Amino acid sequence: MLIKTFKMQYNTIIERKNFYILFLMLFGYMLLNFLYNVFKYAGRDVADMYHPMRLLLLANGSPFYHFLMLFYPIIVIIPAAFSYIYDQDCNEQVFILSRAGKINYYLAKMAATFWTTFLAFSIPFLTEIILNCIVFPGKAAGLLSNVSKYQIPELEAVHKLLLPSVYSYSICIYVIIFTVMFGIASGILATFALAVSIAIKLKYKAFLFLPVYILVYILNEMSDIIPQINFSTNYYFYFDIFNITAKSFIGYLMCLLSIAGLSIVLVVYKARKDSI
Amino acid sequence: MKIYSKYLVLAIVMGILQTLFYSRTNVPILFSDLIFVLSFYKPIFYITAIMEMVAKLIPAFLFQIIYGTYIYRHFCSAGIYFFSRCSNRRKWFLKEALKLYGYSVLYLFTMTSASTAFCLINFEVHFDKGSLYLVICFLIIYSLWYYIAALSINIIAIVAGSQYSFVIIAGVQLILTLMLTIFDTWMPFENNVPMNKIILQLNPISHLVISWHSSKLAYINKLINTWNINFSFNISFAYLGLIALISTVVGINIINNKQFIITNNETGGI
Amino acid sequence: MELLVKNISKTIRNRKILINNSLSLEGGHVYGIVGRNGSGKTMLFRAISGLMKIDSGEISCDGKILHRDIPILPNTGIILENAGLYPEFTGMKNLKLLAQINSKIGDNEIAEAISRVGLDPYDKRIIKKYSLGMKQRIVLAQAIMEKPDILLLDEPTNALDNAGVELIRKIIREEKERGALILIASHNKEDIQLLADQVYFMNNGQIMNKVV
Repeated sequence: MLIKTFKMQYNTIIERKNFYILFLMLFGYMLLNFLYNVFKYAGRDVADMYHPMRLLLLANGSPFYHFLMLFYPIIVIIPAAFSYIYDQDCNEQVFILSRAGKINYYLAKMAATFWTTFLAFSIPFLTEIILNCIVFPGKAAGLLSNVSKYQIPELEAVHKLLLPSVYSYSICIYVIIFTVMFGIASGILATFALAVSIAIKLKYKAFLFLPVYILVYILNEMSDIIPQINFSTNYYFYFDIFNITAKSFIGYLMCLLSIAGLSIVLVVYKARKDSI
Repeated sequence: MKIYSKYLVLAIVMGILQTLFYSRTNVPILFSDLIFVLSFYKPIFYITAIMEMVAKLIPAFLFQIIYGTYIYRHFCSAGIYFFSRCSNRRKWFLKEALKLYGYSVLYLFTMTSASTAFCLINFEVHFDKGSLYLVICFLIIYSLWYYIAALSINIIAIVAGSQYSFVIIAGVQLILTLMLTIFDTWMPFENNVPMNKIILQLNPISHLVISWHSSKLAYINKLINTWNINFSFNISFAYLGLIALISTVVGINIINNKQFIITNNETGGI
Repeated sequence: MELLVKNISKTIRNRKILINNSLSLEGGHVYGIVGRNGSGKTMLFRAISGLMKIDSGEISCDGKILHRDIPILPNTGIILENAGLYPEFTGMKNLKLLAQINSKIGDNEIAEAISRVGLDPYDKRIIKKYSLGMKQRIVLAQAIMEKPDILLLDEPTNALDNAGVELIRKIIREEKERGALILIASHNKEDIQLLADQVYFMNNGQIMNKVV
């Protein structure tokens, strides 16, 4: 029953304009970055060419990345986080609850929101990895800083990455892992916004932008609130795959797990109450 | 009204959060420095500085999201009953817009007061000469900007729905902020300062950076005027005031011509 | 099919909305609940369907106790006041999404249910464009499409024209003949008189008496 309810919620979300317009926009934006690189580096000698994985949208500091990150707190909730509010607006909940029961309804909604947002924020960038592997020469190994990868600055930079051992083993696997993590983080943030909309009756849809912005702001200020934190807490640096600003992988995981845990607590709290 | 007054608590929280980093420093705080902290500090055109600016936009976004429903709420529940009794919508809208501006001023004043009070309690604050003038300029410029953004969100929400309104206005602000990086990449600022200054002044976001302004009073000018950009406070007041006026006029026209086909703008329904 | 409601009560914010109500209902019958606006009919339906928990008492269906043995009433079609469908999808799409939850029926059964209520199953218009009467009909279609054992219908003939009202009454009779247990709440005396085998009068959250 839970799986069927999940499928129903999933189908409802992906059929909405919110989801497919956002997905197409992300896909199109990825293609823009890809084509920009194709035309920029066309004709360049392999020896002078940058590593294909260094040209990804999530993997360099280009204006394409900055622009995406500027809008990220807004767009992350657009595909799926409004789904509970939409159910409430037309009171469709009654028909779903009478078929699936409360617990199934809420759990399936959370799962569907996570999964659809994960897909929207990972498929375009995973596709870009495949496209870059096909189009750009595999033997190219240059860095965007134009420093040799054997020079000391680059070796030091590698150690500042999250999971440097994976990077050293295989750049492709490293990039795939962090692209998937980007999708997971996006799914968790969307689920958090959904959980807030479930726990607190939001009078206006625009208020749903508040939870993610407040969360992002508080996380950003964490290093000021807690002096013991000597690494960055800004999402911008964690989603940039090759960024060498001081970061903490354990901190990143703990943060995501905490947000996911909080979302579950909010939803369980609401599920126990009557819905009149 | 009472509900929107309660949201001023957010101003207090934001004011305190923005000054927490002072706990890492042990030096006395100048009040003028506090004003800079609340107004993007002293950015340059590099991308990392611009991204810091974007992070500092968030307290403004919070105000805009909440007060972006101040006028829109009248179009949600009981809209037809309200407007079937309202004979002069223009007058009504102007009154609401003025109240919204009042909330902008109150919000900023509360935020600034909260920051100041927090710093006074926890650190050492010196009220340097010229800082009072700066805080007044800050309140005028930022209240106009908060008003423009919140009013625009209200108007777009009435036309298209609340979920789109914030996305559009926040998007415009983010793009305008990112456009400042052209003075680092495409058109380095120092290459043609007079021309670049005019182009920079066209961007409303640039007027929000208090430290880019200048003053004829020497003791104030030495606190601000970073990078010799030399913005005039009067021009900033006039420019943002003009945009506020245009937004208000546009809003008046939209409200006056609004047809009530949907009962509740937020949930739909005939 | 037997549905037993024993001494159920519910209080919300110090206000008693259901007071010690009991019903004994069997499949193949139509039961009517009448009462003024605010008498508690809709709340009674919410409690019986399992959408709302009760403070005391027991609701059982074929011996299984609601909220203890079963979370919701099995195989139930429901119409409640102000409950609608997704406005951005067509009627057929809406019902397909709901049918996925139980996966008991296919497109043919859904189309048949929509036709039964007098609508075109392949109408491309989205729910937002429907009139109130059409919305009421499509909501009834979602209630009957899975051939439920229990039908809880709160004001099923609201916003319908005379032809629509006749059609709904015909459907209710057909469902009764199929063996469904039907509970209707209505302030329309004629609906109750023509359809119900037994009628209960409700006032201030309490079922006062069985009206013959």
